[in-house]
Amino acid sequence: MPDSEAAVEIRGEIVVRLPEDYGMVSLRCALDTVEIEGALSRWAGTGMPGNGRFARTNKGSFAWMAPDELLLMVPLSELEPTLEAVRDLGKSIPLSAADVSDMRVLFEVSGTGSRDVVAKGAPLDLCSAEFGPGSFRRTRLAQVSVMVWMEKEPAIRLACRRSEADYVEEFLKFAATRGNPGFYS
Amino acid sequence: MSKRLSEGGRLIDRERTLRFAFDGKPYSGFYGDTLASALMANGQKIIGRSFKFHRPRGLVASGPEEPNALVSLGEGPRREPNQVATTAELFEGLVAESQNCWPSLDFDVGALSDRFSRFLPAGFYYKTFISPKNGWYRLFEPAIRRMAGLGKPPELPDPDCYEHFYAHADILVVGGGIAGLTAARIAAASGARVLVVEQRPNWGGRSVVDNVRVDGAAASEWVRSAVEELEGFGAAMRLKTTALGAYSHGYVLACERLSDGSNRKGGLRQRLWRIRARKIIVAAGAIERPLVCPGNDIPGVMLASAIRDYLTDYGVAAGREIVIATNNDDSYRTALALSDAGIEVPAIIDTRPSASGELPGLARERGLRVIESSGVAKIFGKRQVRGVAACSMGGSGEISEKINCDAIALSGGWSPTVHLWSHSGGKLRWDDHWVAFKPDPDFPPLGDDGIAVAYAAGAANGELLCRNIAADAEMASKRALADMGIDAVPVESPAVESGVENEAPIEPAWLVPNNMSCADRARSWIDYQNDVKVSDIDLAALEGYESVEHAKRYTTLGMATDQGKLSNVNGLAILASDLGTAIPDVGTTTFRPPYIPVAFGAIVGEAAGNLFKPVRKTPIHSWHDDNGAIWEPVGDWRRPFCYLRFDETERNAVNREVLGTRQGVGLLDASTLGKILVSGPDAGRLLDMVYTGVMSSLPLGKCKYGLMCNENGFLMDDGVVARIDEQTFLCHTTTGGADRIHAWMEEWLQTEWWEWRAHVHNLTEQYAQICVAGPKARELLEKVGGMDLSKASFPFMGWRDGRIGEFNVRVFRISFSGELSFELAVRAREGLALWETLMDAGKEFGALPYGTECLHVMRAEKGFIMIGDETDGTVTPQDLGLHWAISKKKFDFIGKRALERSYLNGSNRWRLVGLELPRFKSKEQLEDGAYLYETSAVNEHGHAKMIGRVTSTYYSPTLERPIAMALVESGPDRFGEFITINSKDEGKAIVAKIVEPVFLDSEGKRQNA
Repeated sequence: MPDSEAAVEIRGEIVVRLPEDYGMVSLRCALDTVEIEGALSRWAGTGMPGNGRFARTNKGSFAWMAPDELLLMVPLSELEPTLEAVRDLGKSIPLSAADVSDMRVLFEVSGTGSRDVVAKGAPLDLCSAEFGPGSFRRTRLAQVSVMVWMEKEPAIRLACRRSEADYVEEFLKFAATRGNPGFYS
Repeated sequence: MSKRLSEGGRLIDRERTLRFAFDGKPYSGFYGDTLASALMANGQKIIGRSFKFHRPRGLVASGPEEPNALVSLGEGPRREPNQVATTAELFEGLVAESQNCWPSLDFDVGALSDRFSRFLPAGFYYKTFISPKNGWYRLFEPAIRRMAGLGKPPELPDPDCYEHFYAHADILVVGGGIAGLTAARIAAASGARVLVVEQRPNWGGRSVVDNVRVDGAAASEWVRSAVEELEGFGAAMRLKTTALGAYSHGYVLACERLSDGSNRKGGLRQRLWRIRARKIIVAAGAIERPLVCPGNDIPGVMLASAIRDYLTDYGVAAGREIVIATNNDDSYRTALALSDAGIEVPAIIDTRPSASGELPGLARERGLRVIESSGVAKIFGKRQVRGVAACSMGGSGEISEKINCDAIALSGGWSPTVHLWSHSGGKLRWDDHWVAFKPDPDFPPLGDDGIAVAYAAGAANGELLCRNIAADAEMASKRALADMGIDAVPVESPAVESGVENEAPIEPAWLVPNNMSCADRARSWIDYQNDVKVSDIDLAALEGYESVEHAKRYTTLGMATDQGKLSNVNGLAILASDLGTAIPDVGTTTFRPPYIPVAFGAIVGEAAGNLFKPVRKTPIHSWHDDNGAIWEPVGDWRRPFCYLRFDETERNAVNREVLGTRQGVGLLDASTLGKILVSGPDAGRLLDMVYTGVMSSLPLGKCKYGLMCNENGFLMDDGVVARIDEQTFLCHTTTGGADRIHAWMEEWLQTEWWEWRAHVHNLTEQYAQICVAGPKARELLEKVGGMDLSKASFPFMGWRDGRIGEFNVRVFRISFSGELSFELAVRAREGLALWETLMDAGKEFGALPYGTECLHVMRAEKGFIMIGDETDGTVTPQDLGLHWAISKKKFDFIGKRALERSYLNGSNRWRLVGLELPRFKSKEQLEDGAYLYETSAVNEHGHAKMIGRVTSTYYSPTLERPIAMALVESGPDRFGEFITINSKDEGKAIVAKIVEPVFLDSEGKRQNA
């Protein structure tokens, strides 16, 4: 496994494999049902995100995965209490939850050319009007599926399957160190 | 003789000399030259040989439409064949070689075929090489390929890098001439996101060559300010980027040339742009057509516009005395430009009865001689033009006058570049005024909304007068914006002046002269690269090839690397005249991407070397790698096949692993197995439908083996299901089945049983899973400690959550090896640490890691089936003797109905058996997939009847003999019989005994230990 902190910096774009200090919980429930969405929103303290978005709440960040699926991202230290709380919530609304904290590996591409790096593999429209802080996409990076989101300009975060992390790391380093399309930056 | 003039050449920098080599000879050119212009400046007339007749050929064009000047560029691994000299930018040290000639470009033996060209008409391949029976493959094809091949491909891997880039735009403008820039300017000013691509290394298109004035100043001034303005609006502007193809819904591929061999920017050679545009504006200009006249392929015969380009852009004159032959006014610009540069223009042969427009007038004012109503009877010279004979246009080629010259400029009119418009479905319309096909605005390519997705602008739209081009582009841009719901802001379109008020109309002149003789028809080229002549089209028409698509394939017209950019319209016009129909009725052939040839490297992009294909790695992958794993691809995963110690063979390693596990304890990385969590009040109901057995009644803490069938009743996956809690089940699938079965369950839930309260989570990668198997498995785990693993409290087919050492684990007491076996699931990030802990603790028990082959041997010894070995999509559970796993009580499950079909029930189906080989042949294994047959009966062809095949075959070190499983007709009814199996050695059959497919411990004492 490559160093978790291994970074490569060319032209100011940095690719980092993030330390595994995050927890993730997969939630399946009928988000399009008013009562369920309402119950979740009350629980989280704010409305649930729509398609293509993620929302920060006092329970963690919720990302929209599908019409009946959310991904809840929390610091690893919050994972156990979160799982506990979600199971409690499951008693009042039809919801199923699973700990998926180990399924994915996270990367961050930072630097002004972050969009140009990611756009070498992801068929996304990454212009700031379409993709900015709060945006969340399920897409692919070259040959593997990834989730792509932005917390703060201009850093882009990606999550891929753990088994494909080496490929994604190699791809991102290739993309960050070769030519600069200069399309977004 | 062509040469560089002492002045002129807007694109070259005479201060910077570049050296290059062509066919091993040193040459020099200037910075800014193309290989074509530099060769021309050096007086090189012959650059290539034609494909079929190996005729000497020189430059015809100045852009990517060039049919003749194909060269191999670069050396060694960087050699790229079939590169067009007219688009190859010159750089210091460039190495180019001519193609399709032997022993040399000047003296080519293959040119003999030209002498016999009358025996090699269109379709001669089909007519000539019919006999002897195997002649084509053995004799003719190899010989023809040797003769006809173009450049040779490089033999080493491409050392350069390529990448893809996904871009999105509201409007993609293809072409950076006046039309493209005007359209882009309006769109960008109106707030649209604009991307402009131009294939040449500079903006402006033809306008900057043709002395056009824009807004009262030189065109280049306006172009510079328009580009600056566009950049100010944030438009993305890309030079050296060729749009290759337009596909559905505004998807366009374009190739950007980043480095040419001298300067590899960041190691990248080309970038393939994968553009998704809401609208495409095709402003790709137009391409000039040559006239079809006798001898029109002799080096020195060029397009009129190309001669102008070389003169203006590179300061190169195509000859000392240049005759123009034309049917339109535009080519007079070439005459004027040449005369301005002091080059003699002995005559302008005009096919029209009267050349009385403004441009011919200007030519006459300079004292140039215009010969009206005339055609070309003959072009003198073999390896280069020595002169031309004029004739009456209406006649059949009787020479009226001979004119000395060393180059000829031909112009048969212009064809709008409609390729991109046509790629994704835009229709064309014939324009009688300009004698050309142009985009039909009533039938544009459509987007997903049914509205036009492409708009043609300027010359590409058939608007060939430069003063109208800007207005046409403005209209195209405004329509595109309106169709997107964007309000166009008023932007003043440039006023474009060509210097003349009017141009007289072009007049069609498909054959020059009109009544060309038969001999001349065989000497008048239409498609230069593929050597298609008028006589070939005549023959195709005569032989009934009425469809232009058929005639194209019969004659190979337009099928060369240039895809007939110069020849298509001439060819179909001549076909129309042969058939006595109108040109629009003949129509065009289909335009297909790519517009120009594209390197495989660009298509591949980054997917080479380490990035060729993603390899999925388990959390324990690195340990395997460090400990001698021989890798086996399983789906996208790599799993250890076995672990080699020192210099043992793979077979010995497998045997060692089997015996070590059977006698002590072995560890298997089982992380790749699918793990699907199904939860909700209806989870049991769902599983009862997807599995053949009953899962809903499975007690908490218990596991059960299950089978899944598809709707046709065929076995598709298997695995162990564990009941986690009242509403939750964990389903294990095969490695390859994880994603497929997850999707399968989702599909049924989403499309058929959407009201069921059950959810599915694919947790395959959440856990690392380690199988600890063997008689000492319990001892090992107890040594690490943490939970009660005794037989009494943790029986076979149970599972428990607990701790092993430092780790939170879920332990399943299941066995695929027939041994006492525990499978430990741990969070993936802890997988490697747990594995190392177990290996460490196992030292005293002789614990060893085992790979997939050992797993296979052990499961086969036990007669356990493997999805993909014993199944192939046509095998039912009953075929494999798995009746016990199919519920007879359940009302329904997927596949139940299909399994009731009579032909899935017959006892004569191919059913699972074991095969026992005589012990004395102890090392001889049956071949996987070998057929079993009956020796007693043969069919009418003398073939024995096949009655089965080997599905799994291994050497069993435990039993010290080969074992195999097979599907055999009426299998279980034949226990005890001997059967014949074919082998690789022809004629040498193997006889084996049909037995029960369980070779070891049929009572299951070991796994229940």
